[in-house]
Amino acid sequence: MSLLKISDLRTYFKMEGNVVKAVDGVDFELEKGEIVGIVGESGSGKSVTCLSIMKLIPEPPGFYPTGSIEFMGKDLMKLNTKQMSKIRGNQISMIFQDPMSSLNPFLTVETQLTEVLEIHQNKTRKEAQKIAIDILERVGIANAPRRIKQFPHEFSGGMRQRVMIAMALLCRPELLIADEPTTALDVTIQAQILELMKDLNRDFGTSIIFITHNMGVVAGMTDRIVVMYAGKMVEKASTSDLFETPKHPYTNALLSSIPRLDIDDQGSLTPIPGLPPDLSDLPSGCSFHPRCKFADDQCKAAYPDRIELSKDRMAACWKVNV
Amino acid sequence: MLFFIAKRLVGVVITLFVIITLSFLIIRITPGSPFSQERDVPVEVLEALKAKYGFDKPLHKQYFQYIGNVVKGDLGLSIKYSNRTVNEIIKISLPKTMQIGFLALIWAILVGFVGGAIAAVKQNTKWDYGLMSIAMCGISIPPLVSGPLLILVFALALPWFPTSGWGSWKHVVLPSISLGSVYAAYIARLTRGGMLEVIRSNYIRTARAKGLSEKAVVVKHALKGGILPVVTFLGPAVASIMVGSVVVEKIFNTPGMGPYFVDAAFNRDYFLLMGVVIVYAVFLLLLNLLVDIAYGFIDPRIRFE
Ligand SMILES: Nc1ncnc2c1ncn2[C@@H]1O[C@H](COP(=O)(O)OP(=O)(O)OP(=O)(O)O)[C@@H](O)[C@H]1O
Ligand SMILES: [Mg+2]
Repeated sequence: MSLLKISDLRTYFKMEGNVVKAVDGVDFELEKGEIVGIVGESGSGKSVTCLSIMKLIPEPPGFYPTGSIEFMGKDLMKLNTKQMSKIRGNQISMIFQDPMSSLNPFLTVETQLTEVLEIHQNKTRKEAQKIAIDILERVGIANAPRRIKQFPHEFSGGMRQRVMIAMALLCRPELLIADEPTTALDVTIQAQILELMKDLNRDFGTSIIFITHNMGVVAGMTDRIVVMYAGKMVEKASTSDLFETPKHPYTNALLSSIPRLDIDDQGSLTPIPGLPPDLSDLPSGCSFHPRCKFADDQCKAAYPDRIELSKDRMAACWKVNV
Repeated sequence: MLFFIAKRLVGVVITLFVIITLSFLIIRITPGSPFSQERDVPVEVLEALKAKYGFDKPLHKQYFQYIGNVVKGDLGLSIKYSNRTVNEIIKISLPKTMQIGFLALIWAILVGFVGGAIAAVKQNTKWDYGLMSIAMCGISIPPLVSGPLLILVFALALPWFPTSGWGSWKHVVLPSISLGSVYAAYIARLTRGGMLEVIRSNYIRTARAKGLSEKAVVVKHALKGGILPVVTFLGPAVASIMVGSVVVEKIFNTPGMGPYFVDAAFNRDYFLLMGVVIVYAVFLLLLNLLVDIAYGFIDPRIRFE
């Protein structure tokens, strides 16, 4: 049995009369120890997917018209707030996009770390403090016994993201959701954080959902990849398949927008023309057709069926077999 | 930190000096004299009176003498209450004003903060709408109106509290409520706004993601950020409460500093007027300093320089 099985997840927002379909049909599974990537342009629904798994979408305006999230045999959709908070931070942890604003500026790092152990494992402050210092050292924060007494503003961006990672790992969760953990950081720090996450996955066997809009980053990190466009899952494949034989024109476009070191000719780097659509006013048929160079009348008329190409390999496009 | 306080205290002294000088000038330059009401006073008596208070000397001499006395802690003689010193009058009346003022402030902070926090946590529910409607009423009813209303209801219709005067704790309740309500309403609205902003912030999402209960999220993570706008507001609020206490003390006939202030202004009771101004100014300046220090304690990002 897989650790996490998401089926037909839909997350909509009711906004002034119309409905924004931020996530509209996402299915994937995650095995223990696996790293799955979710990629897509800004606004494609990556963060909403993750927040839905944690049940952290504000309701209202958000609601889930369909979907189940089976995690270790339980459907998270059926849990109440109290049951859900026993899982959050304990069995599923999340790291957010912006480390600068994701820590509480009014509390010391120690308070913010130890409270996790106090609520989930009934540790005393002293025991919790020791574990917290150990884990801070593990994620590469020098001088942890002194640093832990400080406030977030005394840490650099990279260091804060390390604190966030430490916080997420305190209870050794089965699943870590990392929502663009490196986007706000500069390139060398990015590489360090990615390396750290790979180490943790290897050493603790933590499964990871890794979100990014940077195809270059997922290549070296993930086992499998889910590609999202305008709230819909458009392709799903193992990382190697996806990079070698991308099936969806959108995946293809994302891939050719990666800067590559091995090709000198930077002219071949083509950004995707046009902009992602407005979610409350989607184009007819396939949402990608206005930007797709293969689009024809069929693409404008109807949304393509999902085509199962092999086990764990799917693409939603009329032109898959072309 | 200590250096910061010391520096600010020097600032307080300088400001105080400027205030004293300006009010001295304004009070003395405006036409009229403390003795102008007593019409049929013989010239000799008037001269003797002037000499008693030093008004026969040139103005700048009087000024320096006054400053010298103030530094020594002597605020001079009252003219209307001719056998009492200003120090004496303030010593008796200030504690009453302070009781009313502080109670009003505490009531405003407690009610305002709790009300605002509940409204924010229960945003767009009956609670929120109810509390904010009450706050709206509170803001639009100044002490001049709420004072007589409170007397009508809680002193005359329901004889729970005395209508006026001084003596027991019961005398303090209505004036404080009347004085504090407007600020309670303001603080409720500020708290609601502050809390809503905090509740939408990323670090509150992090707190939820950690598995904290909704109560812990609010109490441990949201309150501190939500209280900051209130702390900022406290400086100006204290100032207006002091001004408001003049009105409230008149309405409830409280023998605090307020009535003396008003009478002193009408009677040209120079030294009493100056004395009251100085006491008000010292209070305001010190409380503002206190607010700044409190702000620094709540928000670790603020460094005392
Ligand atoms: N609380 C909310 N209320 C209304 N709409 C929302 C809310 N949260 C997200 N959305 C909408 O859902 C859509 C998807 O947003 P999401 O944050 O998941 O994108 P993303 O793929 O994570 O993009 P990015 O790369 O910029 O982080 C957006 O169009 C956004 O406007
Ligand atoms: Mg996002």
